[in-house]
Amino acid sequence: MGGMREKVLEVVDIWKAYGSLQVLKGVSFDVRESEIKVIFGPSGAGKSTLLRCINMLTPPDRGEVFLRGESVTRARDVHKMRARIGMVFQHFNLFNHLTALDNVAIALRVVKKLPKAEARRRALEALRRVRMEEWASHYPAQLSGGQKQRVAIARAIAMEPDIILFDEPTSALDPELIDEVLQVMLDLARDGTTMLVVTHELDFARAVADEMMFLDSGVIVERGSPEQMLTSPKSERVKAFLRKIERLELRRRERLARPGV
Amino acid sequence: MSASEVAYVLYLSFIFLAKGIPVTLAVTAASISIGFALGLSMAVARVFIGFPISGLVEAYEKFFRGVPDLVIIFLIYFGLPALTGRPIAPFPAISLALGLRSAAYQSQIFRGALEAVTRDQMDAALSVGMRVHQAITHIILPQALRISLPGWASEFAVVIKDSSYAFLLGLMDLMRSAELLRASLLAMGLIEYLIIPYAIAALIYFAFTFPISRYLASWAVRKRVELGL
Amino acid sequence: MLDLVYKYWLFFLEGLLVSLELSGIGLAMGFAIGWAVALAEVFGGRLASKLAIAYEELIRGTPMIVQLFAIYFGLPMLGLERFQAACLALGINSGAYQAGYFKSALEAVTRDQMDAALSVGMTKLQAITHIILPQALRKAIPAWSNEVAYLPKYTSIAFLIGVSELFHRATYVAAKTFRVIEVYIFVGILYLACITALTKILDVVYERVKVPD
Repeated sequence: MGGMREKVLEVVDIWKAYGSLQVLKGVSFDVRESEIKVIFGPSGAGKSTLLRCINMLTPPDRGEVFLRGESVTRARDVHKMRARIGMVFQHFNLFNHLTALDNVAIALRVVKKLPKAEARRRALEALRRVRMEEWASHYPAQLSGGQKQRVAIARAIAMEPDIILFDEPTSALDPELIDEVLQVMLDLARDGTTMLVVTHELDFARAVADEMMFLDSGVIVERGSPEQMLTSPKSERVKAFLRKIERLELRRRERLARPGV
Repeated sequence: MSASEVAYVLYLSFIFLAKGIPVTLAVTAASISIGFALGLSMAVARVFIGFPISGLVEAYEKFFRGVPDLVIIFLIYFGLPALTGRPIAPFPAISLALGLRSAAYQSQIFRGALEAVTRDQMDAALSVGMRVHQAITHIILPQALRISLPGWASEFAVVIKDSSYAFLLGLMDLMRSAELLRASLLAMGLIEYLIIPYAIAALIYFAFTFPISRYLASWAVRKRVELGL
Repeated sequence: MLDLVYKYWLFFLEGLLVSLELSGIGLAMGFAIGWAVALAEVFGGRLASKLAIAYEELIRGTPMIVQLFAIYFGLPMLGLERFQAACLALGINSGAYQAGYFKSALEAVTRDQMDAALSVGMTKLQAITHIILPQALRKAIPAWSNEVAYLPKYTSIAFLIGVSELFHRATYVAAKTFRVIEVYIFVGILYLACITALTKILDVVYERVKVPD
């Protein structure tokens, strides 16, 4: 950990407003090689917007994002930068008309221009990493939420990106399906993948995060190691938020424990 | 008016009318293809480029929906030569006229389908590094085309019916065959039988349109549901 | 184009009136046929509904020209004049399409309301008359106004059997003056204006009359 490793992602002073609503007010941080950073905070605080500004799905009003020193925000061929940034969406966004295998392979063929056989091979490998290789010829409509998300992760890792952004990857999943996705994410973490994760899954953060950042009302209110943030946060807002999350967690565990629910 | 006479007339009629089917199908194919190419382009332009193309496409749609088919056909067959100084053959004229009309309807169908493919799909395609045109080609269009099948099948049936205008320009399609047969029957004085050419022509048209609107449409809907689109 | 308009405006206007006449009669006929067919389909016995469906499918699945010619040229024993034949053909054709709209409206309303009506003791006939029909009539208006607004455009086929409506007169003027493009564009715009006006009027009527959601 620390300053010796190269900065993969540098987010500098991002501002974004929708109409009169200022969603992001000067957010800055960086992520180094193999680091895992977690962003958490109340809904509507701008976390999704932040991720979308990083890979330029939505351009920020002010500020800049750098990928290994190259500007993403001002890139002339932004699609080339996007190919190096992986993204996993809250609602999976799998390509409905393609099988799981093709979902992963299509970018390899169309973007990286790999020959069909090579693309398939790599796609299968990615599916293997997320333990979905047996479902390669299934369509998204035939998969459960957790399976869909794992395929989505395979789609991201197959491109061998410099960093993967996760936008609340488990929020849209039924409780019993969350673990399979978290497990895959833990495997990725242990393999040294550089990850920026927006999530409420605090156990995950505690296990692998190098730093946690609390985003509220468009500002990073507090940041620190998981131990600092989760056990002794300084800010009142963080404390209040953590309490709320704990209550939700408790209710979720109760529901899981009750049979036949 | 014996039974065998009627049967004979029916038999002859069918053989005679069947000769008009190839031209009918050819006109249909040409028109729907023109309508498809133009309609899809307009829809894509409207959804992905927006202003100012949207306005032009909307005007186009309104014009071709509000103006009678006959006006469009005559405009092209009689009007275009006036502009270019060269006559236009009947087949290209009717295909172009019907094609332009169909494009207005197909444009609407495809626009609805494209809009039904949500923004999320575009986001996902962009996020793996595709450019917009790649996203449209590989991700958006395949889904939109599947979604549009039922509506498109209806339009296909409409074009088959529209092709009957071809006989006005002298083409030997189903309708013209029916007319010729009627003329022959009239000349032979068989007044009671004059309805037969039309009845058979109607049945032949029906034989094409009914399976399309019934079965193609429901098959298409089933496929969509399977894919969860 | 304007000098053409000036010279022939009355001629075209008369043609337009004929077209509107055709539309009106065809529409009225279609309205009656449409409701009869729709009611037969939704509430009729097995035979009635099968016949009704057959009617709808056959008319909607065959070209209008064939229907028109079948009536005028194919059935001379009916002794119909051109205008009458055209009205009949338009009426029968429009009826099939209107039936489709009325059927959807009937089905939509019946699903919710029939049980409720029966449960307060009405007979099926009373339910249809007092509860279903009034609502179905209003529900059908949006789709139905489409048919109404576009009907004038279809009347142009009457030209093919020699009725002196707007399009027929357009071909006459075009042949006489050789100014083909101007004439047809002018007439095209006339039809378009007609349809747009009808659409707007019907929208206003619908706003006044619709059942609040």
